[in-house]
Amino acid sequence: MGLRISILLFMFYSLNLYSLDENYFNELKTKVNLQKDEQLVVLFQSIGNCSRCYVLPLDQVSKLKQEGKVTKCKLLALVICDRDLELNIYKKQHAWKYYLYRDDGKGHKRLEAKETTYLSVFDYYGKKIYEME
Amino acid sequence: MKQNKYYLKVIVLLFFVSISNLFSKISIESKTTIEENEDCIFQTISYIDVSNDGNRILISDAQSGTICQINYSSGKIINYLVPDLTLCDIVANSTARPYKQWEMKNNKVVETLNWKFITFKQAENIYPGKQNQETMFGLIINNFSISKYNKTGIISLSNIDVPKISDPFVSIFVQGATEFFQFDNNLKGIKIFPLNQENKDIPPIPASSNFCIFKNYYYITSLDPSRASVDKKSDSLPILAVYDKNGNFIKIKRYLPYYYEFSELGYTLTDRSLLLANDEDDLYASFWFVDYIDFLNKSYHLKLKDLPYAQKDDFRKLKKYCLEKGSFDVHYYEIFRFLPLMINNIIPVKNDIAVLSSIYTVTGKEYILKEYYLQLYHKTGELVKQDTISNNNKNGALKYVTYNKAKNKLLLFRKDDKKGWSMETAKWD
Repeated sequence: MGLRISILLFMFYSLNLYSLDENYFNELKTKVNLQKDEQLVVLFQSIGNCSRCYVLPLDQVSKLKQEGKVTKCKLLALVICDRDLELNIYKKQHAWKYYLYRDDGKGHKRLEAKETTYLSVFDYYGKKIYEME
Repeated sequence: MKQNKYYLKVIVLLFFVSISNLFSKISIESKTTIEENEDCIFQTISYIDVSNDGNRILISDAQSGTICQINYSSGKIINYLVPDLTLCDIVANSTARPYKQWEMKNNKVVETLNWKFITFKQAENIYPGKQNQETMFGLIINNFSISKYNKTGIISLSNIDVPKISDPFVSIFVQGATEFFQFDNNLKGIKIFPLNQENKDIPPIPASSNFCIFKNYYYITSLDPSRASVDKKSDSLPILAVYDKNGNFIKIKRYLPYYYEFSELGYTLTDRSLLLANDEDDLYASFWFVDYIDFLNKSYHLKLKDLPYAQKDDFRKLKKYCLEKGSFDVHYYEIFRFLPLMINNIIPVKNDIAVLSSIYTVTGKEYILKEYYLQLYHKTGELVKQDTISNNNKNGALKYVTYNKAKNKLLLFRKDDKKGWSMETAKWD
C-alpha cells in the first residue's frame, strides 16, 4: 500500500516537474496577442549576453522559417532580471523590436525547458514544436 | 604583590575590551535612494569606488555596461557614460592588437592567423551589405566593467567588441577586446591605454576581469584556459598578471591556489574573477572559496579566523563528489553544498582590512544566500570586529559593500524589486 502511494506521489511529482505551466503560457500568449494560426518563439535571454547567445537563436529562427517549421510567429525575449525597468537595457543593447517579458528565473521550468535551452517554439495550444539547447 | 594585582586588572580589562569588540554591531545611520534614469539603469553592481574627498560614488554595472557618478549625500546622478559604438573605432585606431591565437603543430606552438582590428567603415568596405551590418556589426555589446578613480581622473577596464581582419585576408570577424580607457572626472576626454598582448606567454585578460593600480603597475586578472592543453600542464594556472605603465607585460604575479588545482576544478571556480583591493600600503588578493587574504607586496598571508566553515576539508569532499559523478562541470548548488562560505569583497578600512563573506544554504538544486559575514582584521592578522548582515531588509537585498574613507562610513548598497537601489551608511559600534 505504502509503495503504491509512493509510486503515485512520485508520478504526480514527475508530471508536475515536467509539465507546462498553463497559466504562465497564457500570460505570454496574452502579452503577444497570439492568434490560433501563429507560433510563439521564446528566446531565453539575460542582460549583457554576448552577441553569440543572441545571434544563434535568431539565426535558428531564420532557418526554421526557411524549412517551413515556423510559418507565422511572434518573437518574445524572456529576459532574466529583477525589474521591468531593466528590460529597457536589453531593448537598447540589442535594438530589440519585438516582444519582451521579464523572467524571474523560473521561466525555463514553467515552459518545461532545460536550463541549457535558449530557444523554444510553441503552437497556440502550448505544444512544443521545437527546442534548441 | 600590589603591582601583580594591577597587571591582572589590566589583563582582565583588555580581555573584556577585545571580547566586546568581537561582539560589536554594525548600525545603520541613514538611507539614500540612488537615482536612475532611462539611460542609466543598474541591473547589478560590478564595482563601486569612492572619490578621495568622499563626495562622489562611481558605480560600474558590467551588465548594462554603463558607468555613473552619484552624489554621496543626495544619491543624484552627477554624470554617466554609455559605452557606445565609437569605442570600437577608438580601439581599432589605437595600437591595440587582437590576442594572438596559438595551436600545436608538429609539437611546436605556432600562431594560427595574424589578425588586426579595423574600424566599422573599413569593415563595411570589405564586407558591405545591410544584412551583414544587422547580423554582425549591429549586435555589438560594449561595457565599462570595472571603473576606478586614479590620480588623473577615472580609469575603466572595458570589454569592447571590435571587427578584426586576418592578414592576409582570409576572414573577418568580431572579437571582444579588454582595454583600459581613461577619462577626466566629468567622464570626458576619453583616451585608450592599450595593453601589449603580442607574446604567446601572456595569458589573455578575460571579459569579467578585475584590476588594481599599485605603485604605477597594473595588476590585472588574467587566465589562460588553453594553457593546460597546449603546455600539457594542469598545475600553476596563471590568474594575475602585472603590466607596467606603458602597457607592457612584466610577469605573472599569482597562480591559482593549491586547493583549486588539487580539486581539479581549476578555473571552474574562478568564472567571475580574483578578488583584488589596494591601499597605499599593499595590494590584497583572495579567491572566492579560500580562507585567507594574500598581501602581495609583503608576501604575507592573512588567515581568516572564526569562520563558521572549514573550507580546506570541503575541497576534498567536493573533489570526491566530482569523481563519483564523473564530471568536474559543477553548478553553484553543488559547489555551495560543499563550500557554503564565499568571500565577496576585500575592503581596506583606514589601517585595517575588512572581509565580506556570504553564507549559502542548499535545498535540492536551489541555493539561498542566508546572510553576510563582515570581519575586521588588523594587518597583523588579529581579528578585531565581526558582525553578520542580513541579506534582506526593508530596503531590499544586499548587493555591494564598500567604505567611504573620507567620511569614515561603511556603505551598503541594496536593491528592491519595487523601490530600486539605495545606499545605507553604517558605522561599526
